[in-house]
Parts: sequence; structure tokens; C-alpha cells
Amino acid sequence: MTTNKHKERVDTSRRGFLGAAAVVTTVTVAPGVVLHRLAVAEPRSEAVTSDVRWGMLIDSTKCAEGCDACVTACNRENGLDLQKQPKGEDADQQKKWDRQAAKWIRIVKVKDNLTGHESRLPMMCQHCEHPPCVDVCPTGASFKRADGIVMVDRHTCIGCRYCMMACPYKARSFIHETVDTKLTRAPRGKGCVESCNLCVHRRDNGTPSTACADACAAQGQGAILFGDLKDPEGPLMKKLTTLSSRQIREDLALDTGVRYAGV
Amino acid sequence: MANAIVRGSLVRVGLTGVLFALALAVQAAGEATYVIEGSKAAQLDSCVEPTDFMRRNHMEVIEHQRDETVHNGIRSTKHSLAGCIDCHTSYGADKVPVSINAEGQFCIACHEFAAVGMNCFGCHAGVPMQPSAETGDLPLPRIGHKVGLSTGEPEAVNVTRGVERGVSE
Amino acid sequence: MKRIVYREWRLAPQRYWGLLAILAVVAGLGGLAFAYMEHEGHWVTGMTNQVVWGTPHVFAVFLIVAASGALNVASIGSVFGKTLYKPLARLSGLLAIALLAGGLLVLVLDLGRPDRLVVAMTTYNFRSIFAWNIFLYTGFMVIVIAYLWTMVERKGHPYTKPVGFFAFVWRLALTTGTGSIFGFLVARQAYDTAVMAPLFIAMSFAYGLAIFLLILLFALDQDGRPIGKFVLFRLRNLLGIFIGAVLFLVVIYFLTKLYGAKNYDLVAFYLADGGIYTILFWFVWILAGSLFPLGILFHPELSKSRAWIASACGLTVVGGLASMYVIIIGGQAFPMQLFPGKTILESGFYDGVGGAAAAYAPSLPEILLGIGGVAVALLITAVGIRVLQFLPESLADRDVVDHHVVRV
Repeated sequence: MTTNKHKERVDTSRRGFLGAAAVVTTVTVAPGVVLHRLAVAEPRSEAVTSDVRWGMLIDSTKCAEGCDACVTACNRENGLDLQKQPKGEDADQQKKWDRQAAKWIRIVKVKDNLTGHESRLPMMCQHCEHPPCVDVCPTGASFKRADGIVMVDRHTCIGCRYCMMACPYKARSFIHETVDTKLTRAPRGKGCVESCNLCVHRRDNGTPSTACADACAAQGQGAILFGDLKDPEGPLMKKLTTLSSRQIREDLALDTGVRYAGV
Repeated sequence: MANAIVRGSLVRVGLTGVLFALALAVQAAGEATYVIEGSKAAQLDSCVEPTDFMRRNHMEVIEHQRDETVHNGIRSTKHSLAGCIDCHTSYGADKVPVSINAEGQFCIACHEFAAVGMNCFGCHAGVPMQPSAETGDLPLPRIGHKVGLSTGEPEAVNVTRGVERGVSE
Repeated sequence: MKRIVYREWRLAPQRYWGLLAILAVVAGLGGLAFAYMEHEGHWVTGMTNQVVWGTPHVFAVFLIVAASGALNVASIGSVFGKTLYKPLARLSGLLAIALLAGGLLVLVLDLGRPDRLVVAMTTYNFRSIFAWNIFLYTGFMVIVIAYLWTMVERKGHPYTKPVGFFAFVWRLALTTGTGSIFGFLVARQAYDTAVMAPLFIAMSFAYGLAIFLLILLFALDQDGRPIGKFVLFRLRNLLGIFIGAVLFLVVIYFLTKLYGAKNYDLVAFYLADGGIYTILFWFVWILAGSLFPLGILFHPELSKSRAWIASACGLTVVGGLASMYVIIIGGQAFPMQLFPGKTILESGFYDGVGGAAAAYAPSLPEILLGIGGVAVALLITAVGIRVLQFLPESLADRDVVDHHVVRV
């Protein structure tokens, strides 16, 4: 039980800073609690493991027409709304800039060619078990974290954009401009590629859920359910076992971490 | 060929000399401090590690932590860049933080003097994280608090070992 | 057969320096374009999050593919023992290096973080065909330089054949790698097929030889060295065969794509309703860049004229650039199949709403950077043949052809 051992070590080194009550609670609870499900907001001090695999279930039947709360929330959370069009006010420039600005999540509406059935759903990085973007990256900057999050290490990204060519979900964005204002939790700069990282700072700081899922729930839709795909007792897996869901581009057999119902 | 080798080693000897002189100068300055007034760091006795160590090795410490954070998700240590920024940022009269990379501020002042090019702030914010209940961010003062007070007690991570082993592993 | 004498390019100084100056200006413009794009970021280019590889990649991939093809003349000489091609081997090797250098330069300068080139050189992910290509490219340079050394240095002569053979195998691997950059992309319908590798090999044969012939004819013409009909017609016929091979593999490509119903839209996009890509495909690549040169090269009268052969080469090069544009940019512009069997009605990220192609218009800096790479390649070649003995004194039939061969 490395997690428990580790827990104790953390407790010792922090004893001076935590209130007595907190210490008592943690020590009492610690033996029975697996680290990643600690309710206490505590920055992670032990490397992520593959004991968890973060994922999502998106119920497109609950995705309400005209709502883009998840997109707005993601933009705020990850500083995407801080991107500024560098120059050029004319319509052509603006149109081009809109195609160049980074977007981590977008709403897509599709219609079945035969039946005419329409569905509306948010699309983002699908956090594949076998991500093509990781395979093609020449420097290994595009990587999958032990807990299943597919993300970009900006420090080794050279901006070749091969991952963008390889991603079947068009999930990635290239930063086309110098970024002046950025958030501490979401670094961003010219010349690197980025995409949804399931609010990785929240994962590491022990905050539950993601910005998009929270926003969707706050709107009353609750179309996005975030959770651990390896926890059979967790809300995500419980839902997935009862509700029929599918992967987008199942034919590629990438075993995506984001599943969709009602598409 | 032989000529080139000789020239190469001369250059190397020269460079080492310059570095040595620089180190001596710093040592001679003794208690000289380079922290910016008005930053949290100015009120503390030393950095997260002994100041001498940090002067020479801060880049390895930060780079090591960078890989730990990006790949392993470890954000609890006192060696994070966010911690540097939180502690070393100074504040204007209006209590607005001045970017640590702005002219004359902690990072840039020294790097400019030493002619070191680095581009942390091409992507990273140069001002401390703003605590926000809305986004669920941990308010940084907590981490800052820990950074400021934990100098006596070594953290679990052995930095010197990390530095010796190299940071790119 | 006489002993072949190689001589530096004896171009009148004012012509030579004038040529260098023009090339240097074009290369300099490319450098300025790079500085501009690097300073501002890629928003000043036509590239977007939908079309992520733009005009620089068209030029870069064209040059890299042509580089390996340019080495073919040398390979035929030393690997397949055709003595007729031996006098051309040195220029062939030089051109291979020059074109590769130009292409790589464009590729590297279009990176989002060109300052991190050292990262690309020190951190590898060996699952990536791109990482393998870095080795294939640098290895190619080293091997071709060694190959050139075995040709020019008496002590190296015994090694010419084994090194030449190694270089030949390596260049096949290199073009396979370049083709596989696209061939291994399962995400995009236009790629995702193994035929990309042989297609790129055939392209490299054709485009490399076309450029080689153009430069050879120009260089010989400038300082009045003869080239015999026998040599020229051999090269001409070879070019014809290579262009034919490209056309054959293009047909295979479309047949492969047509066999599965899921790709009907893609084939229709390229061949019928793809707008600029369809026009470029039919009129520039196939008609002007392939069929027209074939007509010239096999025409009973025109095929005997040096000017016509040179124009056929020029057309092949233009067609080659168009083919790269169609493959690289057209392949990205074609909407990605996110939901097979469904039509996208709305999207916040330009996911091909209603099957619309992604918009892309090349910007001036991109074009200048690409042409700058071409200029660098030509600059290296021009300086190389001027200061070193790359060009044979004469390619007249009596100097390079065995008599019994001529009669046959």
C-alpha cells in the first residue's frame, strides 16, 4: 500500500501547517482512503498512477439547443478567452483569425444521412488509450499521462503540428500568435500545440470534476459526467454500465476515454 | 585540426575563468541580496533552499520540477516556478503585481546581466496566480505560506540527487 | 571510352556573380519571410487549425523528395554498372545534398518553435515516423558526402560501388519515410494508405531527374560544354518512364480509395468538385505536368530538341509542385470524417459543415520562404560546381559512350 505509506509521510511533513483538527481527520481516515479520491483539496505529491483513468460520458440527448455553457466555462478556466486577435480589423482577417484561435471544446450538431436523426454534442480531445497524436510526435512532447490524460509537454513541443494531422477528432489547436496574458494554471505561448487536458490542474489539486462538466450541471443539463473509468463503483462507470454509449470513430479502435450516448 | 582543439580548450579555460571570477565576486559581495523590495522574498531569510545553492542551481531545480509536474502531476513541492513567481514578484503602489519578467524585476535583471536567454514567460504567467473561488483554483497564498516557512525542514524530494542525475531523464 | 575529365564551372565572372546575387536575394527574401513569421507567429500565414501544413510544406516535401530522386543518376551509374551515367554521378550527388538542405531548411524554419531544433535533435519518440525521418535525412547527407568522396578521391574508388549501393537503399528508405508521413495518418481519408510510399518514390524519381536535367543542360550550356544525343536521349527516356510510373501509381491510389464506398466523397473531391484542388489536379499536375511532358518526350520530332526536353523538365517540376499542393493541402482541406454516415450541420471549430472544404489561401511570406529554400538549393549547387570539379568537361557521345554501345 504505497499510497497509504505516502499519505503518512505527507502528514508528517505538513503537521506544522495543518490545523489540529485536520490532522486528526486525515490520520483517522487515511488508511481507508485511496489518495486520488481524497475529498480534501491537496496538491498532489505522489506521481500519478494508472490506478485511475479519467474519462467522461456525454449524453447528447441532454445537450440543450442554444446552450454553450461548457465552451464558455472551458475558455475561462483555461484562459482561452484571453487570446487576442493580433491585428487586422477587416472581415477577412477576422474570419481567418477565428480559424486560427485555439479552441479546446466545441459544440457540433450532426444529422444522420439516412434517418435524419439530429444530435448535438460537445467535442474535445477524446483521451484515447492508443492516441495517434502520441505515436506521431517526433519529440515525445505529446504524451499520455499515467492516469489517461493525453496532453502536450510545451517544453519539448517544437510546433511541427504532425499531431494535428494525426488526430481523428481535430481536437488540437496551434497557438498562432504571441500570448500576452496567460493564467498560472494554463500556460500558453506562441508556436506550440495544445488541447483539452481534462482540467489537469484540477486533477492535481484535488478539485473534483472539470470546468465543462460543472458548467453543464450548473445549467441543469448535466449532459457531461466526469469520472474514473477504472472505478466500477464510481458514478461514471455505474452510469456507463447501464446506459448504451459509443466512441466517436469506433472504427479506429482507439479506445477513447470520452464516450457518447444518444449519438 | 590540432589548432582548433588548442583554440577550443583556450576558450574553455577562458570561460571557466570568467565564471570563477563571477563566483568570487558574488562571494565577495557576501550578504549582497538581489531580491526585489516589496516582494515576499524580501522578508525571508533564505529561499526554499540555501541562497547560495539556489543562485547556482535554481535552473536545475525548476527544470526537474517542471518534468515532475507535467508528467507526474506533482504540484505540492516548494520548487515550482509558480512558487518562485509568487514569492519574488514585487507589487506596485496600487498593489498590482509587476511581472517578474518586467524590466528590472527579479528574473530578468539577473538573466540580462548574465546574458542568459530563457523563455519561461513566453508561456508562463509572470505574475502570481489570482485566487478565484469561481474556478476552483487553490489560492496560492497557501503554497506561498508553506514555501515561506518550510526552509528549515527538508521536503521529501531530494533535490541535490535530482540535480546530480540530470534533469532530462 | 576516354578518361572523363571534370572541370570547375567556367562561367564568366559577371554572369556567375550575377547569378549568385539573384539567388542570394531570393534566399534573403525567404530569410526575411521567416523572420517575419517567427516574430509575429503563424497568424500572418494562411495556415489555420484546419489546414495546419501550408505552402512551406509543399516546397519542403517537394525538395526533399526531389533530393533523393536526384541521386538516382549516380545510383544507376555505380549500382547498376551503367558506365554511361558515371560522368554525371558527381553532379547527381551534389544536387541531392543541395536539394535536401534547401528542403530541410524550409521545413525547420516553418516549425512553431524553430529555436528548439536542438530538442528535435536530442529527444526522440521512436514510434514516430517523423523522428525516423530526422535520422533518414541527416544520414542521407552523410552517406552522400561519403559517396562523393569515393568518387573524387582515387583511394576511395574501390568503395564507390558498396557506398553507392548503400546510398541507393538509403534513399529508397528516405522516400518511403517521407511518403509514410502521410501514409500512416489513419485520421485523414486522403492519406491512410500504404500506396503513399511507392507513390512518393516514383515522384522522387521523376522530379529529381527533371531538376537534374534542367540544371545539367543549363550548366553545360552556359560554358559551352557539349552533351551528346545518346546521353541526353537516355536521360529523356528515363524521365518519360518515371512520369509514367507516377501516373500509374496515381491511378492505383484512386482505385484503392474507390474500392471502399466510404471514400467516394474523397475521390469526387479530388477529381470533380474540389474547386482549386480539382483544377490543380487535372490541369496542372496531370495535363501540364505529366501528359504534356510525356507528349514532348516521346514525340518523334520535339523529343530531339534540347529546348523542348528542357521545357518538358520545367513542366514536370511545375506539375510536381502542384501534386504536392493537391496532396498536402487538398488532403487537409477535405473535411475529416468525424461522424461517418452523418452530416455536420453546425460546428464551433469548422468541422466541414455540410461537407465544406477547409479554407486555405497561401500568404506571401509562406511562398517566399518556400522559394527561398529552392534558391538555397540552387545556390549550393552553383557554388559547388564553380569551385569543385563536379561537371564533366564533355558529355559528347564520342567521349562518354563505348562505340559498340552506340551502334546498338
